[in-house]
Amino acid sequence: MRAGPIVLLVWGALLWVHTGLQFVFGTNATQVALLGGAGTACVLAALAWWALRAWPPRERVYVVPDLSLPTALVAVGLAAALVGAELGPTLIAVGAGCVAIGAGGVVRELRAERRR
Amino acid sequence: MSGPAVAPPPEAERPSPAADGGLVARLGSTDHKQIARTAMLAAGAFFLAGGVLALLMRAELARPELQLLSTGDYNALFTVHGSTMIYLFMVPAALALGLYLVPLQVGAPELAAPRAALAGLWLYIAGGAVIYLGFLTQSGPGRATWIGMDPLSEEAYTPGTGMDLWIFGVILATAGSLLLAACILATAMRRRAPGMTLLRMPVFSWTMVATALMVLFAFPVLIVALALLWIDRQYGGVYSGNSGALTYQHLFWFYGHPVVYVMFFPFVGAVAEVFATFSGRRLFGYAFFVGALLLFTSLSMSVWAHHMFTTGQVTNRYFATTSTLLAVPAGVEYFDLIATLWRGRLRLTTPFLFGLGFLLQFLVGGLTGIWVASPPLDYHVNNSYFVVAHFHYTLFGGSLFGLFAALYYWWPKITGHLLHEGLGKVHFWLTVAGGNLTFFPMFFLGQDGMTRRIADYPDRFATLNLLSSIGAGLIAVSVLVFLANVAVSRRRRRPAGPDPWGGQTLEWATDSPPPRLNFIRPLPPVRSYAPLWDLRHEEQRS
Repeated sequence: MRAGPIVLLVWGALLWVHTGLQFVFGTNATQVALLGGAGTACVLAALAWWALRAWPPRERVYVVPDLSLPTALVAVGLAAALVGAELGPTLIAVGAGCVAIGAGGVVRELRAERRR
Repeated sequence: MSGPAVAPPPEAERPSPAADGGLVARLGSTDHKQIARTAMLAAGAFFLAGGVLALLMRAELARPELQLLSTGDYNALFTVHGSTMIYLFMVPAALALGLYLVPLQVGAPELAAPRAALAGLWLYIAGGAVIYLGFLTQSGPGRATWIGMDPLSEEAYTPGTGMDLWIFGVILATAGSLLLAACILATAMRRRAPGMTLLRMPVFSWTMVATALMVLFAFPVLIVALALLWIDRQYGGVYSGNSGALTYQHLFWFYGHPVVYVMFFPFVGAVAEVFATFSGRRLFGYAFFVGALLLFTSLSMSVWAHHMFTTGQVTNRYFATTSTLLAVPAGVEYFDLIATLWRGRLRLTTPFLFGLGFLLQFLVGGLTGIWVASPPLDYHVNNSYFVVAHFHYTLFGGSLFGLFAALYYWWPKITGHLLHEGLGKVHFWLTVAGGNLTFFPMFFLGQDGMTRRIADYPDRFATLNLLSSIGAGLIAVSVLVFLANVAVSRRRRRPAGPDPWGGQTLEWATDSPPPRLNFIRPLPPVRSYAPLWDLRHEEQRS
């Protein structure tokens, strides 16, 4: 499965080409950093993916449970905690509690998946 | 190399829990189809909300000196309208379409990392709720435009909780979109059926891959920019000084231009599938199309500062060049789409009509894009209604027509039932009439000097503004016709069968709607990007 890294590498290289083109027209540090940074991130992601390609794709994909309410709870908790930065510490506490309970639920689901 | 027929896993036939479960089962499902349906529903709800805000704005602008709204309220309306349509409607709708279809098109029984997609869905919905929560605050919602324009968005100029909630809402919705895009990319790359090489992936899936790449490498910059904006509002010192606003603009537009293509490419792919199916031909120049797509998306990452020509602080010649270069891959794609129709046996169904509408209406947006890509011309029309007309032709004339083409095309697959063709055609013509009546006059208004984001204007702009407001009413009627079509079709329940159109890609090889793990029957061998086309033609030959 080399497809992912190849697509990322090609795309990252294209971003580098466009970054290089900037030097023809005169450089600007912010512009070079933004586009060059995105290209570099893309190439690094490709290399990381390449390094991880030894992990075979999971064939027993159907072990993921049909329902995962804890996942939804984690997301909602994260949102509540973030908005709590504006609306008050109570909401941060509620959000953090939701994240903790949800994360516990997700861990339980993952353990159950491994047992199957 | 031909791929073998693939047997489905033993549990493939079990129904989705959401099919017979209650609301909780629907909202917590890890089935990519259910996640996508919920995301589409949420996006639809936000579309209606954003549409109501647009109607209020057009009511205000129908005549000069009406002042139905205060200028502050008007600012809030266009801010939340723009934010809704981009962060909460079009981007999530495009990603939801990919979330539903990419696993089916690549022959995967499941999405990669479905929990991440579920979390993404909830972050997006929470983000939307948080933006709208601003209406309940004393200061009202964010009112510093959909781009959170600095220094207008600073605490001194837009005080109050509503603006902060806008920042958090956009961050959450964007983080949700990021997760959805990552799952789509991982599925397309790692879960393809045997035999489906990269150059055998359906063109819609390719456009979703390209879209996901842009999301993954542009959207994080927006999250950083807005997090810094919030810090700046609380403590100051981030976007301060002469270059502060410029820095914010660089960060924002590095996201803000690619997002236009995030809202565009999935629908190019959808229209390509629609054209191929309803012209009875394979897509013309598939490999060139894919190559142009990658070039197009990478170029779209390098044009952001054409939104900043008038600052005088960016390399205008570079950004004018890259912006104009976009016409090359766009031309290749247009050529491929038109060549697909050439000598085809055209079936003028509703999705096909919306596809044609997409092609022609987006052309207006694209050509005026070349106009504003030229710095001298951009200096003339910058911040005018010309720009409003241009981007509405790309997002309404382009993306929305593409979205409706996709919805009418894949509706039978998603629901198992056909939409009413007659009502669909009424919907199409009303959308064409309403869209053009609303947005075409804006080109002239902009050329003549009407500034955008104003709640009142001189009398000389009255006639064209009235026409524009009448057009907005027509668009509202067209949306009502679509909703009526959905209601009628739900009651009529005309079964679609697995493949009502004679589709070419793998999603049409399974039931409508597909079972929990997508495919009950073995997949046909994949020898090209159009395996069902190959199968039909082999059968005809034999």
